[in-house]
Amino acid sequence: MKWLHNLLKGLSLTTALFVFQACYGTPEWLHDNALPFKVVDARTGDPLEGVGISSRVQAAENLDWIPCGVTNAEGEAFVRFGIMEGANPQFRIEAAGTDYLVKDTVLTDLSHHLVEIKLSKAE
Amino acid sequence: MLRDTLFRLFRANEVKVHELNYLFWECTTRCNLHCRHCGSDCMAASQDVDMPLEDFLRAFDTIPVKERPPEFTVVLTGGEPLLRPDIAEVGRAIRQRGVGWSMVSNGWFYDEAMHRKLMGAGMGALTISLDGIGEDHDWMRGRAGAYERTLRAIAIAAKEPRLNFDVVSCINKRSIGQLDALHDKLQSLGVKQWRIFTIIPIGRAKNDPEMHLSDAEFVQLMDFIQARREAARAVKEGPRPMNVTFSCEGYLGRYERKVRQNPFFCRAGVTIASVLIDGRICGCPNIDRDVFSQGNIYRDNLWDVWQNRFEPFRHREWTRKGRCAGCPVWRDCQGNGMHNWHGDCSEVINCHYAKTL
Repeated sequence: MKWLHNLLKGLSLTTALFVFQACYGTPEWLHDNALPFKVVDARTGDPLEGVGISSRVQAAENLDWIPCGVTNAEGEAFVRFGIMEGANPQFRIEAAGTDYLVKDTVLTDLSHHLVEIKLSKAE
Repeated sequence: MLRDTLFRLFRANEVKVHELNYLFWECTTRCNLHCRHCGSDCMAASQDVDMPLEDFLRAFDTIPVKERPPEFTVVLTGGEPLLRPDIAEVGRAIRQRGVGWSMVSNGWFYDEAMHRKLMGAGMGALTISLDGIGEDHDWMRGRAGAYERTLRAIAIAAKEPRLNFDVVSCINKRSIGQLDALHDKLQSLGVKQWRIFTIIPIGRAKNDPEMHLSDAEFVQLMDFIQARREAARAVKEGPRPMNVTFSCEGYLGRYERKVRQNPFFCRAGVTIASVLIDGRICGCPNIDRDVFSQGNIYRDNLWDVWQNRFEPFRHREWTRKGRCAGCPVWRDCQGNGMHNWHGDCSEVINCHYAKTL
């Protein structure tokens, strides 16, 4: 029963049941750092496919941009990223090889159900 | 009683749903060490060629995006994954698919530069192995200098707040007397999670008596972990003590819930799959691949295999044989971890429960 599985997973008291380590493997990713993105053309609203989304954390010593998703034909990407206590994640949205301008954004509210990004073309 | 019943219902539902969220990729079988306990019998000049990244990705991409839960993790294992020159490219390709990745390493090549490279490629979790103090670690790992290299790697990783990092230790007859020393060393390095396991009699370890704890030593190990966990729980203020836990390698009877957070549940083939070096699709990589492989990425669709095969992993009635037949705890143990069944599978090769009686 998938609904029961999802219900239990959504309850904080039982989340621990879903965080496990294969006896031979690594710890799992901390799975609270994930958001769906949708990237569209700022003028037409059309979804943009193949747009790369990278993330980094402001307070981190290492400020490399980490690729964490590419949009599909609907302009959607499910993006996972690291967060640190007291720091806000930054995102770079880049449609490489196109006229669209690179967009950087900082998320201060991580309770979004969907992060909508509008990309504009260079004038 | 009620708690056990609820957990059995939870486990049965997990089996029914069988959501894939943990995928091992045995990306190389080359290794720079020669560990006494290696289950895969790796060697530096392995006859296996590293699987090309594009082959793995082609298989991975058969998993529909909507079927990849947020916690989905690709675990790079080997051999030693850092022997792959394209390791950062591998990580980036996985992250670009919106999925996390992690790695099991012996730490030999893990210096500051490697750390930055892997973090830049989006690594989110890491496990490094430490099996003893000083020469005893080197003895276990078959190479002088391994201990110092491993400590360096642990110190680097432990300082990284973006990593879900732990250290694993295979406890053997030499290291059973070093538990406190290992604990204190790891805690001094800032390690937050220490996972302990024992060695199953496969691969090189099969006929090595120094690898296997006696029943009394096994109980000593359980008591150590239980005491450390109780002591940690008693700390209410200040920095949290290191979390010491026993791996989910087997059913532990009276030590269940006392030496790890959750009751025993072998998730191989339930939420865990692996793509092995030759393309075979199995549960965890330390499971007998000749017996339990369910397909091959060079012949089959990985997602189809996951959805429609894996019967022996999801219905374990077949393990009611040998000493498991008629065992009073079978419904909680279900034949112990799948890696404890090898060859003709006429008998479980390791019973953790029996060691605790």
